[in-house]
Amino acid sequence: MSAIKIATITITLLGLSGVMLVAGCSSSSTGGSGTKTYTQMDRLANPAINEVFATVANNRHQTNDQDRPVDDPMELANDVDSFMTGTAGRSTAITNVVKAVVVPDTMVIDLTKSGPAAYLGVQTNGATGGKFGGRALTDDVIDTSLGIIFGGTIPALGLAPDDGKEIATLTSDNVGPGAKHFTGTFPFIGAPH
Amino acid sequence: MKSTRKAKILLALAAAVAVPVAFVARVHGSDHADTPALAARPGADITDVFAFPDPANAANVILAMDVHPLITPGQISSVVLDPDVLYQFKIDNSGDHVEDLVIQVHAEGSSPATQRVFFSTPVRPNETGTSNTLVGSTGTSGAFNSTFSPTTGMTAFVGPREDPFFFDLSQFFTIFPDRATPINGKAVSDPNVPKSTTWRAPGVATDFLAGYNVISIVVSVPKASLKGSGTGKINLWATTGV
Repeated sequence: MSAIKIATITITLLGLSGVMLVAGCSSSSTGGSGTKTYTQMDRLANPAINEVFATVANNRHQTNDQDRPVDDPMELANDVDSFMTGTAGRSTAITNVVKAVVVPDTMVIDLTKSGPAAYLGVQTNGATGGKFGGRALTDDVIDTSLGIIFGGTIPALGLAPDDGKEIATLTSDNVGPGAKHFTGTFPFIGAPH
Repeated sequence: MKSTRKAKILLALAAAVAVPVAFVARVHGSDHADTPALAARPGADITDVFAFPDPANAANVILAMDVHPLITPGQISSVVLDPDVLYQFKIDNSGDHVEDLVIQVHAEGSSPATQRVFFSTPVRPNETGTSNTLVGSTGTSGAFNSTFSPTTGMTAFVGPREDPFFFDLSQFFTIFPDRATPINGKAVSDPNVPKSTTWRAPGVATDFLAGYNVISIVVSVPKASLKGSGTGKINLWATTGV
C-alpha cells in the first residue's frame, strides 16, 4: 500500500491527472494480506453534471467517472468552462457561478436543516426548495440543471448579471415524474415492473 | 407508459443509432456508462444518487444509489447485486472534499434467492481515494430484496426497483450525438455543438426510462453518525469499484 501512496504523491507532484493515477494502480486486485483492493470504476453525486458537461470524445466523461472530487477543479471544471462559454454561450460571470456550484461534484446536505430535500438547495441557499439540499425522488434535476445552464436561474438568484443569452427552448425537457410510483415508506423507490 | 409504446421508442432509438437493442443499456439515466469497462459491467454503473430526510424518523437521513441500468421486467428474477463490486457512499464532513466516512455495501452469492448483502456503519475508510479495501465491520447481513437492520439505528434494502429517473434521453441524444457515442461508436468531431436547439413539446417528450428497473441500494442512517465533529454540512458521493 505504501508503494501506491508514494506513487500517488509523486504523480500529484508532477501535476498529472487522476486518470493516470487510477491507471497506475488498477492492476492491483489483491493486496499482500489477501485483501482485495477495489479500483474505482464509476462515481456519481449530482446527476446530469458529468453527462451534460463532459464529452464522450477525448474520454472526458470517463476521466471524471474515475476521479476523486478533489480532482474536479483540474478536470471537470474545464469541461464546465468549455460548455458554458462555448456551447451555451454564457458570460464568464455566470460560468464562474456554475463552476462554484458544481465543482467539486458532491451532493451537499445540511443535516442541521429540516426537510424537504431540494436538489442544490444548500448551494442556492434554499432557492430550489429547501436548505437541507440533497435530492428528493421527485426533484426535477434535469430541469434544474437546464435552467442553470441555458436559462435565467443564476441571474434570477442575483448571483451574476443577466447576460441576455438564455435559450428558452432548452430550459426544460418537458418530462416530469408522472410515470413513477414512489412509495411513502421504506425503501421509497417504486416497486419494480 | 404502455410497454408497446416503450418498446417502439427503444427500437426507434436503437435503429437511430444502428446498434442492437441490448446495447442501449450502455447509455442511460442521469449518468451513463461511457467506457467499455462499465458497459461490460452494468452492476458497477451508478445511475442515481438521492439523499433526503427519513419521513419515518427525524433523526435519520435516507441515502440511496441506483445501479445496473435498464433491467427489463423479464430480467427481474435473475439480476442481483454484483458480488465482485464494492459499492460505497462516501461522506466528507470536514469540508475538504476528501471522504471522512464511508458506508460500504457488498454482496455474497449470485442468485436472488441466496444472495446476502452487507452494509458497514459509517466508518473511517482504510484508504481515501480511488483504491479501497473492505473495512472490518460489516454488521449483520440481510437477504437480497429484503428490508433489514445491519446494526442498531440503520435500516437497509438492496433489490430491484423501478428506475426513478425521468428524462427525455432520446432527445438529449438528438441534441448532443456525442453523448450517444458509447452505443453507436460514432465519434463526433464537434461534440459540444448542439444539433438541435429545442427539447420536444409536452406530450411529445418521453420519459425514456419508464418501465425499466434498476438495483436500488437504500439505507436509513442516523444523521449524527454522519456529522462527526463537523458543522452538519456534508458532501456525499457514491462510487463503485472492482
